[in-house]
Amino acid sequence: MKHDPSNLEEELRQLQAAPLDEALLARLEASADGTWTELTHEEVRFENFLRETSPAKLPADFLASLESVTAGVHFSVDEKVILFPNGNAAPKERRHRPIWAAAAAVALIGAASALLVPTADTPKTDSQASNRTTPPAIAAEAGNFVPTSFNRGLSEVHDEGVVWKSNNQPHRVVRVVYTEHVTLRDASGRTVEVEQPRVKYMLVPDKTD
Amino acid sequence: MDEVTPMTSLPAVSESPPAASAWREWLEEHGPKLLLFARQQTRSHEDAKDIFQDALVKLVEKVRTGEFVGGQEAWQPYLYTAIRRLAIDLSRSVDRRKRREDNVVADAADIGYEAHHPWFESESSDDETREQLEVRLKELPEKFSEVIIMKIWGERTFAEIGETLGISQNTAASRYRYGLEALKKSLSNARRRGDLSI
Repeated sequence: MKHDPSNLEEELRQLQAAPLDEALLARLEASADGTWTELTHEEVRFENFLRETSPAKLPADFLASLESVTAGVHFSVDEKVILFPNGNAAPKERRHRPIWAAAAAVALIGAASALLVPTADTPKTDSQASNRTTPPAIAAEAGNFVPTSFNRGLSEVHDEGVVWKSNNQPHRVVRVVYTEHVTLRDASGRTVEVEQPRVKYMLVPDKTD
Repeated sequence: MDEVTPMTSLPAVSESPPAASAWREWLEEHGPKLLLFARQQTRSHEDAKDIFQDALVKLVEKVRTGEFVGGQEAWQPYLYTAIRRLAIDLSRSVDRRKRREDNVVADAADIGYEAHHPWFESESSDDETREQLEVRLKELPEKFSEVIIMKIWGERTFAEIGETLGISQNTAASRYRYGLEALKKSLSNARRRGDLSI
């Protein structure tokens, strides 16, 4: 028997799509207003219970094997930045200090460390390092300028607010404005002074109560 | 903004520590959670170690050649993604091999071997909780357990998990919620049966 397509179409048209259940509606609504990724108190409590159990440590032989993979590869740490220890090691009273004080301390220690840099060394970037074929001392003999002193002067520190990093830890963004001052001298004793203003944004681990 | 530098590690006023020890420190800190994720993604402890190592080799090679985009904070997301991709590749090749060999005996041997390599630290909680947690996580659908492991022990955000898995952060949050609920129910059942005394 052949179905009449127009009748079938009519019958299908009379069917209604099933309504969304309440849970799905709530989920869609929360997704739309961006709150679906926020956990409830109960979920956080259970999460904390699970977190009390730590992943097993790496077996010693496996760790050694992984370490051998990294042999000779530079572990990149920005040497111009003073990195803070983990937040839980910090004494509590530090939380009440103004944030600019921490940033100022960072800049001051940076400036002090810069003064301790041996004067014969030339500050260099990675690309310069890879291209260099002669040491700085030879360059000086050839009449080129080499740095004889290096200094940093802090001029401004701004608190730019708090950001949340991927590990759910709040970090305060600190804008530090400073000037780098380099004195260069060639073999005949001529000196050139170079000043370069710099801006650095630093993330300082912060606490929330 | 010319530089954004997360400050979570060692002071750098003095000379950088030797590269090997810095890597070791990093591996000791982050390796357990990455290996846990690899364990969840694979069928055996040995496979997990292999793909973790392969993922690390890829990362190190990129760092060495300067191809790696981003700083240290980007290493973990890269490794999670690499581990997952390598696990999928491995799973496909193992499936093919298994279809050919159907080696049941080897699987049974693997199960016995796995007992000596628990997913969780024995000092961190009592043995029954640790064992039950591992068992229940293994019972969960993979799409739930992988999100739970990345979120709780990998400390990844939903956005990062979404990126690793190729899903939206809302989908990651949904899987996490359903997985958490299922895990809670499963642990409660174990407690009622007396397998767990929490």
